[in-house]
Amino acid sequence: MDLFSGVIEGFQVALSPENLLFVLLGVAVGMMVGVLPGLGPAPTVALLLPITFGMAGPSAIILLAGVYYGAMYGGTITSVLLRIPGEAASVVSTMDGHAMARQGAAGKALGLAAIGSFVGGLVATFCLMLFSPTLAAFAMSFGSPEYAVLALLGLVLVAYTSSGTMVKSLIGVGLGLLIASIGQDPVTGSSRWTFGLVDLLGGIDIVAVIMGLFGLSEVLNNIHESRTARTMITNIGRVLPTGRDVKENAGAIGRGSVIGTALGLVPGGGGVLGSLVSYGVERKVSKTPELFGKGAPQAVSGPETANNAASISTFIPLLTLGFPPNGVLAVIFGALLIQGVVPGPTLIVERPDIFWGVVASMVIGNVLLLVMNIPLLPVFVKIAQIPAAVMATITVAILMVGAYSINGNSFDVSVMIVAGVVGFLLRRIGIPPAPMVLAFILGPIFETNFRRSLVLSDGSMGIFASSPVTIGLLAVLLLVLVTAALPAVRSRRKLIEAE
Amino acid sequence: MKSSKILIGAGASAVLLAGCSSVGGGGDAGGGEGSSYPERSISVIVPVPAGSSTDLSTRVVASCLEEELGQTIVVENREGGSGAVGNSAFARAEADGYTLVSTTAANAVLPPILEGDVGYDVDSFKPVGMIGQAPVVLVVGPDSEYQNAEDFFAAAKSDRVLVGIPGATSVPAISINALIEQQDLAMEPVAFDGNQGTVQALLSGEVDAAYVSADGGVTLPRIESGEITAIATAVTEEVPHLPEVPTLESLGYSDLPYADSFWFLATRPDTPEDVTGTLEGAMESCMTNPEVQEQVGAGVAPAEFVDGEAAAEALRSAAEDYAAVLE
Repeated sequence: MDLFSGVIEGFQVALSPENLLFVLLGVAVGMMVGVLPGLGPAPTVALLLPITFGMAGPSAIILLAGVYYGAMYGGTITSVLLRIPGEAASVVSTMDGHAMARQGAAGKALGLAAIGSFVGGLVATFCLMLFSPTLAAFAMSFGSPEYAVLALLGLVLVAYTSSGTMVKSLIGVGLGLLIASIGQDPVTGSSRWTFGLVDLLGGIDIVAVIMGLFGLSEVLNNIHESRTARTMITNIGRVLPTGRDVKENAGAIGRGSVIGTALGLVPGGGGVLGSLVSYGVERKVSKTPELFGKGAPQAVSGPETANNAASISTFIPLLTLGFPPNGVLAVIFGALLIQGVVPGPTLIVERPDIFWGVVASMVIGNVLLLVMNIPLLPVFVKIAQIPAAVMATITVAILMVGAYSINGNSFDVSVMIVAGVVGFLLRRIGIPPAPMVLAFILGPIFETNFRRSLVLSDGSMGIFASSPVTIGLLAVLLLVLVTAALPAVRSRRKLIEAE
Repeated sequence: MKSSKILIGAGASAVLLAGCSSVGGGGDAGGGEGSSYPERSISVIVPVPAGSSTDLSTRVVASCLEEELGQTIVVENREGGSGAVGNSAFARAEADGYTLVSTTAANAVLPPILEGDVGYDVDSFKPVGMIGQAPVVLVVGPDSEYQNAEDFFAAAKSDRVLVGIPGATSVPAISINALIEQQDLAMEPVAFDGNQGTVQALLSGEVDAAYVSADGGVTLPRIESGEITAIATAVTEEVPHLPEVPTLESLGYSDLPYADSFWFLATRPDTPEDVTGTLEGAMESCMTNPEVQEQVGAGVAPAEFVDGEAAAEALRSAAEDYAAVLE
């Protein structure tokens, strides 16, 4: 299918009445959770997962994707007005965005962020359209050794790019790999870590783990940290940017689009990484770097553009290789599995309705967000003041019902609760949940393909250097490992960790 | 309340009569309490992932059974542990005909042998009719250097010929390991994910041949289109829809374990007889319905209805075969 007919089919899917409703619902829920401090996109998507069980494939992914990029828009609002990031990718805006608000230019900050997000979102969506089919066609030629090396590279990058110290991310990756090894050995079929429990023979259900690690542990963490109310800045001012504002920020928005789109592709990447790097770049290219931290508009427009672009380009590795680059996409990976679709290079060809439908819905969703953002500001400000106790109670109830409804099995509820408590305890000692979940997904891909490659080659490791693709990937892997050890990079990472 | 129950009962016995008339029985259809079955929705556990060959054919049959029985049928995928997770859940269910299972013989028989106590064994199933069957076939790519079984086995004796199999504890895996041991072959089985992954690996050239079931979703269409060539079947009698493909037995490889994968609908053993009778009657109407046959797939749906007793017999014989090889 060529690009043109693909896009046509996509809009046919996305413009159907029920899918239009799901885009609208997705982005509205996304903005809401973006606004609500303490409920980020990953737990929300995990929470909505059970609702998608009975939905058609395209509708399910359209809804969940909308929540993700919608949250990128919404997160800015609380960052700017309350100096609390609504979700992690808007942390950067608590600095300059809030400073602008205190100077009476809250509207300008929010307006620029919305326009930047819109531009970044469209740029990333076009990249998704243009490059995915080619990348997927290329990946069709991948055999076991290619997937083994790719998964290994993914695991290393996850540990390298995640928030938190590298050692703690590595611990998270290790734990994820350990949990993934529960169940049947993929090569010999013998059981591992099952302790005689039949329920464990099939391994741990990824959806239950995700709901626990992202959803329940987040709720527990919020209760533990019980945020003190802060005074909100209510004087918003002019939201629509002037011609001069647009001109001054065009560069930042352009760079943010490129940076965000590129960093969404990296395992462990996504909104947070995109916005941090964009902030660094803007400070470097600015003629007035001393204004950064005191209300520089480019420090808001650039990063807010980048986080939205990244949230969309993270779909490229998932829909072409079957590799989810971050926690939210890991949940969407689970949603595809529930739909009976195994994410991988054949997805675009076999389920064009899902691929093109989702892509088209992103164009529609970004338009909706831009339009909704400005007039609905007062509503979202109200939502930000919902008491945490109410939110937490509703969330836990939905999680319990949701975990049971995966397989109609109370065992999954136990898995969800255990994952939630463990995830909470790990957060307390600084081990983030995302590397664990990603390792949980990438681990079996690595193990199966690595061991299968060795059977194919009769035990020779030479098979991993037998094709241009594996050699190229190994070179990248080596580069990552070397740079991770360089002192200059280490100190810069310290900075990111400190943010 | 009472009158409505009688009404439903009358409807159900009408179905029962219609179902049984073609078997020649139908004598046990009465107006007792049990004959009101089914009064509510029935769930069918499928212990393999949605979208697999077993799952798809079960859904076809389930939608036909819905019409026959006049109740909603919910198909639930409870995958994992080579069928152990779903089948053990089934084995815990009440023997009332409201929880059924659609499982392959391999998933019913192998986990108890390989894993020990999984909460069920071959006697936990009372088949009410076969849904589909797929003989295991040896296939090669279009440009393979092995154009027939003789070439293949001549090479497999001395060379490390790579043969893809759809999983480490699948029927083909057990069959091929027995073949290698029995004939002292040098070929090497490599496990992939299901028929889809195995055939994909064959097409991309990662393996030299594949030993997979000839299912209606993946393997048969590609044999028919000529993308892959079947060079032998691992059953004792020639397969009608694969003429001219020799059986391994005719090539001199006999005494292999049962390698004709089949799957069936079953209820719990202590289910009341009138309930199993109703189910078996409905299964017969469905499995002999040309539309269902076509949707399940020519060559996959049994040409003639295989009733509960015959399916149970096939299951027992498969269990004995596997036990003999694995113990």
